[in-house]
Amino acid sequence: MLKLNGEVFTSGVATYSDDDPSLNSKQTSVHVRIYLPEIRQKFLYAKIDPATSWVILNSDINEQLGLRAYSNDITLQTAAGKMRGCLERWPITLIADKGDALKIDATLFVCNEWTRGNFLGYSGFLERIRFAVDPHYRKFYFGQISQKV
Amino acid sequence: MNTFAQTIYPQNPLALNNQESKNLSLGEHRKDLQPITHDRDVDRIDLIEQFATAYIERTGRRFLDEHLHDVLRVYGRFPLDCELITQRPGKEGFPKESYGNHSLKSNFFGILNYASKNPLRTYELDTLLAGLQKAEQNFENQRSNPGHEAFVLLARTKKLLNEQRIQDARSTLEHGARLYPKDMGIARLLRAISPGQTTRVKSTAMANRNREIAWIRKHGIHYRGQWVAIRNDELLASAKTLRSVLEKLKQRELTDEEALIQYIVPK
Repeated sequence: MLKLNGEVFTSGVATYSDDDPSLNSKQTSVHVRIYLPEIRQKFLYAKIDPATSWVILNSDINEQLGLRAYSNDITLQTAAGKMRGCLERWPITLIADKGDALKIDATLFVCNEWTRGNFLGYSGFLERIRFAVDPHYRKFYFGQISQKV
Repeated sequence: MNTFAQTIYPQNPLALNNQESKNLSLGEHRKDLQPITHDRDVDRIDLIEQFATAYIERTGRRFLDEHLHDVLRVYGRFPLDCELITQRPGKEGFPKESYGNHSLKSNFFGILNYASKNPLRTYELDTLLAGLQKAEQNFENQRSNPGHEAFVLLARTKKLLNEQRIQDARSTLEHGARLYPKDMGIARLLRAISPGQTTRVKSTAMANRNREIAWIRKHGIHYRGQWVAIRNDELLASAKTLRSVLEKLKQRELTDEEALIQYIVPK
């Protein structure tokens, strides 16, 4: 647990990965594991990306969750260009190696054509938690915004 | 009765003549109607572009985006059809709107791009134009609908979301939810973007998969484009489809709970 000014700041910590092993990509960033009990593989790596909005999951994951864009009236500018889809709420759990995991009501940007990996953006996800990154030990700390000891 | 194209461009030689119009039934694919191959075929793409520009200038309206997007999706398989242009993706509510002329334009350009590879036949063009007219009528109809204000509020909210003005969008939706508590579109979007709950969960139910991840790092490169099922350091199954992997696990009397199942994306 991390504390700030004597109060609990985060309640869980996970070792993050520089890359998403399923993507075989050498691009380095902060990838944490998330838990989605509804999908076959249960666990996913997702990139922490405060520069984007919403949570974006690959379309095959959306399909397993039973999500499909019911409209295309929300747009999101991405590295792959402007993507279109809709917004849905879905619980996503950040997995902790130590401490407690955190289940977050996330806002998903559901796009039927997205295949470029899973992203945890600021609006709709990161804004709803407290988090800290320790690059030296590859640790991602996280907790509820209002913590009670 | 003039076609929509003739209404807008009565002087335009590319528009269909009355006889041709009589042969057309909107939304109907007339295979017996021979594609016209003389000079007006050459410039039909220009006509669509002119139409798009005139339409945007004339109406200043912005709700066709969704329908045209659908048209682009399906046009490769079906003839253009009024219903495809104007249909509502949802079962209830209002016609889907778009939020900027640029969106409408970009869809037209999408059509143009497609049409440049697969030239539209004149009767398809007429159908397209008629579809747009129908969509415009839908818009007029829903403007006089008592729920129009909620519709406009929702459209504004989506525009805010597209501009990444999330807090403004939330405030607008919260205000809208108070004004129009029965509007499902507002309720659904408000729920989607509302903060919701954050709950601490014991991690014991979530198995540590570090060994499986290490296996993927080491061997995944050889399984690109495939689903793999791994338990500890052992590859239990691999296949092109998830279903095949699950069947292989079943044959080995293993459950999918026991393995880490992962798709390895192609390079």
